[in-house]
Amino acid sequence: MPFLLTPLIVVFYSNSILGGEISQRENSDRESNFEKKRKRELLKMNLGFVVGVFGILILSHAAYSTIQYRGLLKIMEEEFSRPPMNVVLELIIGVALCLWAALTLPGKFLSIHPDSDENRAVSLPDNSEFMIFNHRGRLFPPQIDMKF
Amino acid sequence: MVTKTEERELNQLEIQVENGGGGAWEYLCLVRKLKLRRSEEVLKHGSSILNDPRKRSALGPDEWTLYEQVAIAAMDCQCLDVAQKCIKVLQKKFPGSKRVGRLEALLLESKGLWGEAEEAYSSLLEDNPLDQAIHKRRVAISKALGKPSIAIELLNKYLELFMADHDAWRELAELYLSLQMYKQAAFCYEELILSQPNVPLYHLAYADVLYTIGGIENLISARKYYAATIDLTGGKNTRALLGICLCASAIAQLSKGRNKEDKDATAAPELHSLAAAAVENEYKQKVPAKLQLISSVLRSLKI
Repeated sequence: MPFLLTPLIVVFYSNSILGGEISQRENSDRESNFEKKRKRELLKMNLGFVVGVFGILILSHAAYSTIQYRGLLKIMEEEFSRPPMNVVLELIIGVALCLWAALTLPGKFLSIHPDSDENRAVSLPDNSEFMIFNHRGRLFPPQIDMKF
Repeated sequence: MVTKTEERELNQLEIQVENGGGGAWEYLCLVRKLKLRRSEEVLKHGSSILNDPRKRSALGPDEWTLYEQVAIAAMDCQCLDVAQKCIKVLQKKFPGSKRVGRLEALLLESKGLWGEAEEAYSSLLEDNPLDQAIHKRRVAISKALGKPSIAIELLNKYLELFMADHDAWRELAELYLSLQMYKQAAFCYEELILSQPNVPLYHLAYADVLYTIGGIENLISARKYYAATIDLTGGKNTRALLGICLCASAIAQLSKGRNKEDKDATAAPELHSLAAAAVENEYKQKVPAKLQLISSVLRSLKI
């Protein structure tokens, strides 16, 4: 039982560390959408981690009870056709939890379509390594003072 | 390569930063990552961060990258004293560094002292003869002096050593185009398509060059590459759609004198009508005020 509590402790500890980090950043910048999205993603990842650990524990418990059942059948000299119904139910629940965790833990999936908005090239980078400085813009320098 | 989501993010950040919201540092990081040339904005917002000692110390080790970025932006906007100050700070922190030496030579270039800049680059090249950036700057110097043939020679020598540099191939193609040497420019674009066949913009540029060279085989190839661009972008590139319409009318014009079988082989009436319909659709969605113009142009192309 305390074995099951350790992932929960890990989750809450990591969340408190995360909260501390964000409060140390500059207060002058408004909390932009990027930071909100990142926090939401991390919470979801932590939940997925916990659920995944539960799923693996349930699966290992089902495996252990199946091994015990087979030992019992060997004593009673009967054939092993399939594990008892409650073990099968445990298996199904374990598989479902692990599946959900495996899909949530990696975070956002990337798109593979070449014409989706994330992959479609709209423009190429302006070759700044070959940039030349004698263009018309040099007649209109902006007024900037540097105080360092 | 700038993707659509990155472009949208960049525009949003730019509007946010220009109107006084936060996010200047994220904007500068995005510009640096996408390698864009937004010198005025970078100069304005970068110098506002650097002038504030509190914000400067909050950056940590990224402060020096920001100094470099602001120095280059200042050189592009011709604020040479700003650039000089940034370089001095970097020199104090990293004495004897090659990267800072490159920045100094760049400053000489922006002042217009081409001879001294060339000497500085040759001395830097003696220490490390395989520095890609320095070779490229020498090409840029010849380009700035208005000698594209020398620039092409230097760039060809550079590409013999570093054949995988896509930006250099693109630059060579543009230099050839400025001298109207279309076949050589087509060769450069072919190299680019071979190495990165999933970037639709190379197919588009190649098709443009083929269309410019003219002749019926080149026009048919150009139509194929415009079609490839449309395939890779999911039909969202208006220039490729218009390219197909123009190719269609040019092929129809050139194949007037031929016999019927040749004409049937080269014509692709469904492709043309589909492309014209797609162009009108895009105009209807994005710029309905100019729909009349494009409809009349497409009608005149059919004739």
